[in-house]
Amino acid sequence: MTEELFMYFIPSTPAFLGPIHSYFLRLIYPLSTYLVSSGILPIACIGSVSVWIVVMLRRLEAYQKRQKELLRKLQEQQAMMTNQELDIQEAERKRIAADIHDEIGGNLAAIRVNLQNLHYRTKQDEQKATSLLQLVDQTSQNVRRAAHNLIPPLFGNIPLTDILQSYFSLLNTPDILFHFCTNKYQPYFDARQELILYRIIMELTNNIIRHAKASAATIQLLYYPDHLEIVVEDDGIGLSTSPGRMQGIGLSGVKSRVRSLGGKLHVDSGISGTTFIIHIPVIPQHAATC
Amino acid sequence: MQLPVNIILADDHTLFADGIHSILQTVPNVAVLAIATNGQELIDLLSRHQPDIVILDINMPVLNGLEATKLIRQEFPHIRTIILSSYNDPHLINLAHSYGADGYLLKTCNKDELLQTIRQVSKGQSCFPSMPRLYHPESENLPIREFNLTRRETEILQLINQQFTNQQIATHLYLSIYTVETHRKNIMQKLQLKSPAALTRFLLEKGL
Repeated sequence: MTEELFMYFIPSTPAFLGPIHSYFLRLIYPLSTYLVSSGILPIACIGSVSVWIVVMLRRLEAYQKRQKELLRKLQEQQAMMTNQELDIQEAERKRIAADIHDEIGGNLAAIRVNLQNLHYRTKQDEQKATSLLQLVDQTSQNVRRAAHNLIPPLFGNIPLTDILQSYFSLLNTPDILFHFCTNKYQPYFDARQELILYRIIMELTNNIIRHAKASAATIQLLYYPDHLEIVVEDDGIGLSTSPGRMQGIGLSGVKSRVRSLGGKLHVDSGISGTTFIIHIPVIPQHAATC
Repeated sequence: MQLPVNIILADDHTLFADGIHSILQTVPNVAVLAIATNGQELIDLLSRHQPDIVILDINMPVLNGLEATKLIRQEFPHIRTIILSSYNDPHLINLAHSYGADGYLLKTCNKDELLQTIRQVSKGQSCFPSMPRLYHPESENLPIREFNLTRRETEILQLINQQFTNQQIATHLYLSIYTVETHRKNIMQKLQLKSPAALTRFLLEKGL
């Protein structure tokens, strides 16, 4: 198109323009020779091409950045939704535990103490009452355990390590020897975050009891200046040989909980057992106040 | 019971508190002055009554039993306190003790245990249930048990002592290198050591 225009333009140049044209050529020729031979023109060409490349790269970068930003926002939203879901679940658990413990447990304790206080006319009646008392005791123990499993009493007012220490000292598993180990407790996390940590440890512990076929297990909570490290080990059969253990609801719950705390989960499973290493960073502003 | 003992009960479950009340009514020389339904009410009652002993539940609205115990210890140091709770968690029993409670009873106790505890506490003794202790069989006979190392960590420490590299330890114990590195980091933290040279020195000093 441009070439055609040029061909049309040249012959139609009026004759009086001839001297100007030749003068122009005489001027322009050495100039263009100079430009090419001195390297200015090639450099200018290369320069403009490289500027173009740089501009394109910049544009690509900006595009990638925008995409990353969008992805981050999406992930944030997802994390927020998981967090909300977990919060709702926890609130519900707390409510059910309070109902069970206060209502049923309270009534059982009242039944017990009043039953104890009755006066019986015959020995037979007293024996009946004694067996009833045993039943009440058994039931209240079950109620307490159920409430405790939902949420430990006074959670949030007591250091997490104390609650876990109690839990593992009372844990009665004939086949598996649990060992709980911790260093000095640090109040890095709020009650909500500690409840998430508690759930993670409970889930991994239940997993060991149910599936690992282990004889010994170690649970560690180690507080470092900038993070908390949770190490859960067992000497069981490993994840791959125990079908359903890796895909189980439990472990996906562990993963989403670790993610909601911004932590990292590392799973090492083999013939010598399974090791979970969980790294939870301390939120900077929280660490500054401690 | 020789001296008359005045008691205030605090439990949000009135049927239970009434039951305890009627048990105590049958006992000579024991009088129940009042029954509170939460911790705050109990504290308010204490400014009007002068009981010798307060028997209180942990799980109460407004002010829980442990906080109330702490307050009583500060405000009314002469009043003795007995926690009567359904919780048998060692850390709660410990906490009650450190907050200054004089006794701890489970709600599954019988009449004799209740009276025995009241008698002991009124004499100025304290009375707590015996608690299960954590059993650490693997660290019983190790020279480094004071550092709270786990069995796996001790194993790794021994391999380090035999000049094993992290990779060799990982292969030997069928662990990933990341796991070994983590254990190593935790060992260093527990032993409060900063460098591999310090670890070597530590192992030499301990004669391992």
